[in-house]
Amino acid sequence: MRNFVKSYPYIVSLLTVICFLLIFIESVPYLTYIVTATHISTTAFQLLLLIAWLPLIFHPGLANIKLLVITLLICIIGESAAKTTLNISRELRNIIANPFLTYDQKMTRTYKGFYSAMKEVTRLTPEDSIIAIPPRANPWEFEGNVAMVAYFLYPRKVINLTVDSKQNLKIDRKLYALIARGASPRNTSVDYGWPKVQVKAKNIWKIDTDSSINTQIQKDYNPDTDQWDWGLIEVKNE
Amino acid sequence: MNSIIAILLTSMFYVVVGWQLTYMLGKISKIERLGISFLLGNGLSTFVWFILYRLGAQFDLLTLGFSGLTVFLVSYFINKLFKFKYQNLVIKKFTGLNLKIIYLVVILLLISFVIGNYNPISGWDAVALYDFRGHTIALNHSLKDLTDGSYYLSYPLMISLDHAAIYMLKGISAQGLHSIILMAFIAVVYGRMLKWTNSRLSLLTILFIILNEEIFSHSTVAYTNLAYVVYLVAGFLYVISPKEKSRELGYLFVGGIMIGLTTWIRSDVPFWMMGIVLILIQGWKLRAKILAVFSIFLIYQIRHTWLSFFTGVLISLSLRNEGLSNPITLNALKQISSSVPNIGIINKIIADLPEIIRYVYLYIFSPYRGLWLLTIPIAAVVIKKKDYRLLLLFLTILMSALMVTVGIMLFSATYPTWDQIGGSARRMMLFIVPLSIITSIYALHLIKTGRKYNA
Repeated sequence: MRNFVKSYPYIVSLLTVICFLLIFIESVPYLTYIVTATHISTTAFQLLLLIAWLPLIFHPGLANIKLLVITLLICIIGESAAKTTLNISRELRNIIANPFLTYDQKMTRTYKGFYSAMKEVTRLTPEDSIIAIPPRANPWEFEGNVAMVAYFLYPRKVINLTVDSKQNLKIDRKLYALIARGASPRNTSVDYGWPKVQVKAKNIWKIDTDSSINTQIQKDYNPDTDQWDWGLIEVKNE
Repeated sequence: MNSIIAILLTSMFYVVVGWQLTYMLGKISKIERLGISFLLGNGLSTFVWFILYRLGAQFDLLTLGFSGLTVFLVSYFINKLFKFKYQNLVIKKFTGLNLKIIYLVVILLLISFVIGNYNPISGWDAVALYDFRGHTIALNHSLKDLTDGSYYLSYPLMISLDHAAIYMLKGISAQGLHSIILMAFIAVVYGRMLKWTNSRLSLLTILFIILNEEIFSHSTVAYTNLAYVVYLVAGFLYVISPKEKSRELGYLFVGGIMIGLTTWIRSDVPFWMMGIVLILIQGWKLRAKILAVFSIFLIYQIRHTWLSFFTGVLISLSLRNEGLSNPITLNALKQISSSVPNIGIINKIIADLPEIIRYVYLYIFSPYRGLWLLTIPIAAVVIKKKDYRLLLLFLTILMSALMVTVGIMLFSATYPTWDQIGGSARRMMLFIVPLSIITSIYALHLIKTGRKYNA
């Protein structure tokens, strides 16, 4: 019995570390079956540990308090160090695999399709033009975000239009409209593809983001035939 | 390579600007001096840059240089006036386990710098807000196109001005600067903990902070969260540094500046108020009431300078009837005009209480549960050891918990989408990571040494 009382703080300390380890394992994707298999509820485990620590905290002297601080620090630092190490190894693997990529190449990898399309739009449009983009709604959450698109197209002015884009715009500058299929998975009744109405155009460009080649066509934009992943319309002023 | 050179040049400039101001901290190590001078130089030179812009100057490198020179000269005259001198605290050479820990710390910091520099800028606000503003300021040398709506001014400019300086120096990405901010913070924490504890514990403290996955990952992205944590916690550490009846009153002043500068990074969070409480306590305890009032005035002035500009932009937008339909503008106006809760707000809070409790548990307690749990044994050490500095650290943690809970209550009553930004609430509490680690290791030191009344 005396031995148990002596070793009780260390047992509770060890169980606390085990509990944190289980919580950590549970948080790692695809490994939840470990906890499921052991039938241990980590929430109940935590509560039990809290109760187990209580008599130790109120015990005179600071030895148990010291043990609790060290135990908690081991748990916290152990968990975060494991996550940081995983993060570092993932990042370093990526850097070692492609150490000499240019900033442009890295941006293309990060913003697949979108970055190349934005670069083409920048090349094809004057700096004082206005670029109309789809509404910020599914499936254009990314390409419909004015702030995000403006980052790549500045100093061109970027404006949102509605899904059917039948707004009367008072434009005193050259107007272009982005052709965008929509990069986000569809989760509403709104179909892919924008603009959804015919647009009188001076030129339209089909942008191929894989080959970085764009095809210029002198005709009006027709949503039935010109539904591309990416493209650009030079709107005819009437 | 251009980016690395631009980042290092900018960082060196900040260190030179802030160097003189560190003399008032008395005897500190070179490592700590480098860290705190970078942070002071960064915050103050960008702040003066903004003031000069408001007075009619442009955002260009010449004006930035002039801002730095102004801060440098003012610090120089303060040193002359109050006879502050350079005093270096020599650190013993690292050996054995300490040497291994320091190697590990340096390697981790270098890795953070490499990752931050290598990766392109990504993340919603990092791209669309902070870096975008940096690019436009570097291009236009003004806030042109940023004052057309409230979104681009929803955060103060410090981080964007950092980015702008790097882009003016022909850097391609400014992201690497954020790991330098972490390095400066680590230097400050090491310096403080070395004074309060010992070499081993101070090294373990900084290692534990770097190893935290949230702190580390924020040092590799271009968000404001890490910079906010760095200025806030460093500010707290300096404010609570002076001992009773000590003459190290410069700490109160530097701490006040650092806490004031947190409002130059994020003006939407209220944790600067905790700094004011700590300064008041210290001012009373150290019998330095005038200095405490002056430090609080500094915090107010830094915060007010930005807020008055921001409010002016909002009012001009509303007069032009532009942006009024924008929910961000409306919310910002509402936030400014209704700081006192009325009975309707209180009723709404009571109605939403179960949801608020769930929210606080999910996003404030749960992500940092281990760190919050540490407050239990720390409370026991506070009671048993009666150490004044530990009491202040503990009080800071308690105040932050109270403040965030009250803040979420008020937020829930004014913003209909309050429960959809849990990630943002979690990031807002990031400062609890270094604060709890520092407090618990300091408490461990007190237990180990058996020191009492350590003030």
